[in-house]
Amino acid sequence: MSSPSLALRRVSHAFLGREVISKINLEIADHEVVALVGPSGCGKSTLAHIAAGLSEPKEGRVIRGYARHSMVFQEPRLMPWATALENVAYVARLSGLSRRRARAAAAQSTERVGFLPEDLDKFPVELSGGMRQRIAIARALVANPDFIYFDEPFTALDAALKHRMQDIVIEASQSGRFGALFVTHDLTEAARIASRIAVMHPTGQGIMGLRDISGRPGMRSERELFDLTQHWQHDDPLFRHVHDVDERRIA
Amino acid sequence: MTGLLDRLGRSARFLWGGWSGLAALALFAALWQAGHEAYGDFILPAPLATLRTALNILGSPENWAIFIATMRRALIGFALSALIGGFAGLIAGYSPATMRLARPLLTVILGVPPIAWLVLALIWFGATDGMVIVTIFVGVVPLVFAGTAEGIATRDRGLDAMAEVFGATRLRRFWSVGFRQMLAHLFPALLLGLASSIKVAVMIEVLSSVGGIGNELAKARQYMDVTQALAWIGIAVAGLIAVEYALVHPVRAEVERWREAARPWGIKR
Repeated sequence: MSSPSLALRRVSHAFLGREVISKINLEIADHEVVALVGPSGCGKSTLAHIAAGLSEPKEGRVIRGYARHSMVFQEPRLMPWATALENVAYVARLSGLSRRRARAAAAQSTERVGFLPEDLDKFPVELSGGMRQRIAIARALVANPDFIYFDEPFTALDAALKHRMQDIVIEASQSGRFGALFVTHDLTEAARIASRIAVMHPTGQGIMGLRDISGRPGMRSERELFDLTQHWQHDDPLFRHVHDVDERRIA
Repeated sequence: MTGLLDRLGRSARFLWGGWSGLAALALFAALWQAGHEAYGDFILPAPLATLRTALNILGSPENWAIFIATMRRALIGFALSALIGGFAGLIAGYSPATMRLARPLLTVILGVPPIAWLVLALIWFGATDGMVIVTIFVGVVPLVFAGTAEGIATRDRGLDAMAEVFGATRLRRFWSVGFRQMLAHLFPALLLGLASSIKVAVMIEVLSSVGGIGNELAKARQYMDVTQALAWIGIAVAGLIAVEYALVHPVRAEVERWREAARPWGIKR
């Protein structure tokens, strides 16, 4: 393996004195998509936010080997006062493009995720949930990042829409050549999108294990995906606690 | 080009909306007329007579000077409060410790009636422009301060994090995300502050002899001239409306275009 795109070394974090994740080690290679799964409240999102630099780890190190990252959040997080196009262009501007080139890049990026050109001048309030999330993906792609964090981006969408969004991500990751940390609690989603899957300890005490997923993302048939997730859930001890829910721990 | 057309369209829509305003005013005038017919000229002069008196008043340049004197004081007081209150509110919004210190202070300042400040300001500054401005300032600053601080403190931190993850510097985040969210709270506070500024200015002028519209009102009271009093009141209100619609509303309409889009009715693109 060449130098990793992202390496987490013994990363720990605490909120108000309560340790939420501890001693996490994880490496993601160049252009590799790793899905991070675990039960709700185990600290997956916290880990992604630390890796992306949104919060400082209490202990441990985050080594970023990539040049530019972006993120798709669970909610679209669009600026309500800006149109769809402006929301995407904003990030292109942040990456140093001129106003005109930023708008051109934004238009191109929205086209890539199948956003209708006639809706570009609409404000987020005028768009449906799926359209908003498309804009959020377009925004994450616009500056050509070589690493993208996905923080349970499609949890709030219905099954069909989720499927479409996953295809968009798979398609973009193949043409855009970026690596990604994809946080999710949906095993089928992980199996479709990632080339490796990491399972987090139910209470954040490290990564319990990793599994390679055979075949290329996007090339796996529904049958294979079903068999794989069934195998994980019933025969693989690593996944025993993935569907445990303790809502008291969910912050 | 489309941007310009868009803007023109929005202005036209805004002007068209004036009909409803006119209808409301006509209804008000009708009620007023009814009152006039019930109580007679001495208690409540007819709205048209009042309008004629007001136009008469505005016919002479000296009266314009009186009007401008009041508006100038009100606007200077308002501008100072908006600047200083806005800036202090910003700091308090970003720093919870400052906010905790400022809140009780605000309660105290808001609890003191403007009339009490007037007495103090009269003693400290005498009957001058400065006295009027200080009194307005003390009355309006807490409003703007609270609006700004609230706007910053209740901002959507998710958007902050979004901008941060995409590499926006602290300053950039403030301009592009924090400031825009603050405006939503700031505009109502500014409108309230502007109206209070003019009200307080007139009130002070009634109570102290510093000229301006309030002084004319005091004179009208001495002569028991209700028509004159009502005409001056109308002029003060017209001044407020003029400032509001010439200054605050156009800026607000531009900044909050998306709220228009959020409405379930109206013309959608």
